[in-house]
Amino acid sequence: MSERVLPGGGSLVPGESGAGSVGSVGAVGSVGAIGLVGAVATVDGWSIVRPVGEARSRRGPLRAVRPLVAVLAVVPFAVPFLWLVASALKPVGQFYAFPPTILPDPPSLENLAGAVALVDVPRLLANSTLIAVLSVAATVLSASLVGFAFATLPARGRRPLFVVLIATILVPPSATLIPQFILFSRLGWVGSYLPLIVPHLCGSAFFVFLFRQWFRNQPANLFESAELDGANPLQAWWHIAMPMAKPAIAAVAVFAFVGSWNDFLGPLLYLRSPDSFTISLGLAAFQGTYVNQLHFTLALSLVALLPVVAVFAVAQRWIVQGVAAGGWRG
Amino acid sequence: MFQAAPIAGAAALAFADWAPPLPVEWVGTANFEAIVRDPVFWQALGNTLVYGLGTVVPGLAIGLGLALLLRGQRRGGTLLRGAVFLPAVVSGVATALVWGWILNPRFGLLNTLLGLVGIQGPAWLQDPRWAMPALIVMGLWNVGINVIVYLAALNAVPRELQEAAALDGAGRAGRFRHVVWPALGPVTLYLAIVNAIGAFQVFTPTYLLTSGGPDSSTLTLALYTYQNAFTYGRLGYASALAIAIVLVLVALVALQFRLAGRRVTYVGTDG
Repeated sequence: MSERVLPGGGSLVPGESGAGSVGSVGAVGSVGAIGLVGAVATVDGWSIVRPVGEARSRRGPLRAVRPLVAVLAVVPFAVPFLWLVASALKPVGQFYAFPPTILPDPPSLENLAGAVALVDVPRLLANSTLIAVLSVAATVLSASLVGFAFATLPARGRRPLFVVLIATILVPPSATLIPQFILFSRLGWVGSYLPLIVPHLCGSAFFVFLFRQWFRNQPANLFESAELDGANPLQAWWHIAMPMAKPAIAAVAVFAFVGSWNDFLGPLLYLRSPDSFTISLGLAAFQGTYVNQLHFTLALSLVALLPVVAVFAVAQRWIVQGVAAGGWRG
Repeated sequence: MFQAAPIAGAAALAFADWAPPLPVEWVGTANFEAIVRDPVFWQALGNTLVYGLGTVVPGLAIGLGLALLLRGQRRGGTLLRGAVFLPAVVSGVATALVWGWILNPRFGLLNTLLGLVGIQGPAWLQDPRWAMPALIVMGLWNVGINVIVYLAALNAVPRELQEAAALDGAGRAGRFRHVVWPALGPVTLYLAIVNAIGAFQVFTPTYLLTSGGPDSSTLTLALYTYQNAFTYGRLGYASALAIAIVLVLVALVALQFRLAGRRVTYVGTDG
């Protein structure tokens, strides 16, 4: 986690510097889903990981044991990653040793070299990166614009529209999969990256919600005075709102990047030529083709995970804030 | 808003028989009648409900438990929270394959560990009895989202309430039961709904590791819908299945609201 850890055990996240809080959602109301999302977002999303001092036990023994229990409870979450690293670095003889050995001895990159010889790994990574970067741009621009509109425009009927928007959170993606596929087939987009990028221009409700909360928590007259000064709403959005929204932009960008990088169903449906595959799809295709080369597949899995683990390590703070604000669906 | 059109499209197609390139033929409710008579649908629904029950309820309990444990963790708290949260963030093809390797009957880590304590582990994903439990464990590995949301919610429990309860002589357990847990009601309901929707979408691990097998024991509704649409080319039937999934989910969400009922109280939600 990359929030700065305070001596007292808390962590500092943006809200504490007074930059604004995802907190108040009073206006969202409490109708069904809206109330729920609102309730979560009220959790003062931008300063969440600060523990309540009261949480620390006053009782001696419990206090001493607790860190140990916490570590033990977390171990199962880390083991698959450690096992992946250990396995991927094992020479093939040790990989299939029975009974298995724990650590590679010596660690070797031969599995990775073997996988790279069979499939164009840099190409797969480049494809994933391209799609992810364009998806991030599309998501940030559209969600912030719509969120800004919901936060500032006094348009009549804004509230029912917002309710509809939030309601789409409850619609499972699989319900829209088939019509979307038909639409993109008709447009002749199958086999291109367009179906993986263009839908992000239509914003996800969670991201719109996140931006709206952010903008609502800025001083209300800020955007009004900009417009009094002759700026149109688009200018107010781009020149005034966006530069202030960097934490929200960071959160949404990281989400969009990770979502795009991990996506499997989208590339599976829309990409046809192996040259165009993302790393996820390429990895799935690889394990299907080389079923008996699991040592290569595991090395490739490690390569596929590293970029997103790196993003997580750098951006954990923003991811956590976004999740706490309700900005993630599993 | 932007999703409304595709949903309408799915709803329309559900009343059609369409196997491209043949023209669309409107068949009324025939697809839904076929679904009701389709034993594979009922099996997939059952599997999905088992997966949902197996991941959502323990997922909430584990999520809250870990949040309580990790809250106020001073040394290494950031690292521990990160370790719990990482699986959910990176989950996809690569992590599914890692689990496939861990669950490998012969060379896998799990059966090796079980062997150390003298247990002969099952073939997991190749065993109709154990494939679904294995998938559920994989699903629970992603519980970090719940932990983060609960951590946030715990910190939002008004401190004055807890202090007041402490002054009134409430112990730790009493404070949790009467102050903290009620305040977590809305968040728990929210997580239950979002997790249930997520459970109904599970696709990558079943598609990659089991293809719904063995003996259809891991065939979920999402995978069955995908197979109908993109393997068998029955777009109309698949659309009807998608609608059926939405209807089941709506029923489940309604049930969750009902169960939560008046037990959910909104505390301190005025920001």
